[in-house]
Amino acid sequence: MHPRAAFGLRALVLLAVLGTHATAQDTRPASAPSADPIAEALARVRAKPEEERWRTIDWRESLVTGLAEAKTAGKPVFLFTYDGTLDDGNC
Amino acid sequence: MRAGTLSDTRVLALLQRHFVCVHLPELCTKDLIADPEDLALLERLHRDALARRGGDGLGWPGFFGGEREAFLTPDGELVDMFLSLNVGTKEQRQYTPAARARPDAAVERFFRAARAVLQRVHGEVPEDLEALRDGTHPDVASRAAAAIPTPPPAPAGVQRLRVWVRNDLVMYESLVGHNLLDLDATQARALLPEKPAPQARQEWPRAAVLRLARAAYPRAAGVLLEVRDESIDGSVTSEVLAVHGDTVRGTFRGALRLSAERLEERGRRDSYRPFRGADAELAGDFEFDLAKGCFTSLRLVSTSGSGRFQHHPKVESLPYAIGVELLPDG
Repeated sequence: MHPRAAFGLRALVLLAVLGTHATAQDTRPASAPSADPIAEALARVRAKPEEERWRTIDWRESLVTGLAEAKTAGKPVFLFTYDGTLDDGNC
Repeated sequence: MRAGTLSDTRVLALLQRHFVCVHLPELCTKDLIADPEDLALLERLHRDALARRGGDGLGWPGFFGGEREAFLTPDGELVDMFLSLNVGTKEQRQYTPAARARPDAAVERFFRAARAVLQRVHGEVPEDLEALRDGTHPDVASRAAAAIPTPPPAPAGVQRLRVWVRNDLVMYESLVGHNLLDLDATQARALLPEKPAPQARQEWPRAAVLRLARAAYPRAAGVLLEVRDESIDGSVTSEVLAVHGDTVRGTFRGALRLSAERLEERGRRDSYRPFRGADAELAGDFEFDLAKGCFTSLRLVSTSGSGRFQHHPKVESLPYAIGVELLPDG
């Protein structure tokens, strides 16, 4: 058995002891066995591409700089303001 | 605005083609805006927004106090301001994963605002606007395929962990974000027993638990929290399962208990300090290379968890989950 799978089985036992937690995203049947429950739990927590595409925007971090660039390029500005950082998630 | 409108490929293509995009974070208090020129500009835009609210129909009040989106002319004149999260019917508002998966009402609002500002700046609407809006423009597919930037690599001699956090807030379901946690060789080795052998255990140093807890604070717990050590409880224990040559394999097990008794532990936004605490049970596994003195694998997840947020007049218990993974070396 691959070491990762062996640890996955160990972790499965551990998760069973601790009691698994069904999140809002987790719609699998509670009885479904998993070869790697840690990987599955990580996948449920990790941001999905549709939650992270905002990172692909070429954001400027200064309004003054952005407006100067907009004037040169003749483009309007989209301004997005936020409390905290996007990774802190505080809307 | 993380998922939904600002991650919609039509909106991304529109922004990249026709706009200069500016993101200013940390507006909860004015003293957090580092650039005084930016602050002066934003204060002027804030006054403009308040003056126009209710007049010619700006959709949202000024900039300070929360998330906002705005369109400006190249001369810095405020044309429109709104909050995509709040567009549409109750079912369409972007506070749930289901609504964010179908952000059409918010995207329509976004394009309507964009059309108005583009018309004003250029005297006409760009020919490609409809193709961008209906998703047939090739840039829309390109945005879907664009690689999402990854965190910067750790400095030499340091291992970098990515600590994911996903939790509900009172209004917003399934917020997600990450923090980075770096371990130098000494910090990494301190997580394992001094003499690794099957069944040997090592409780993580308190400093490691504190760093993990701070990285794992719930999203939207607050802005620039000043969390006291006394407000963090918990422990993580490493247990060795097997040693083969220089390779040590084992598991993690533990718990985190976070509390926020003081205002400064709930953030710096005066009007919004909902965080009260969070608990999580943890499990994970690792593989460590004794010869190289570093982890080759490290995973830690919450097996159960809940956050406590004030929702007047009561405190609600809401889902909270974390996941820790080792990032590849640079």
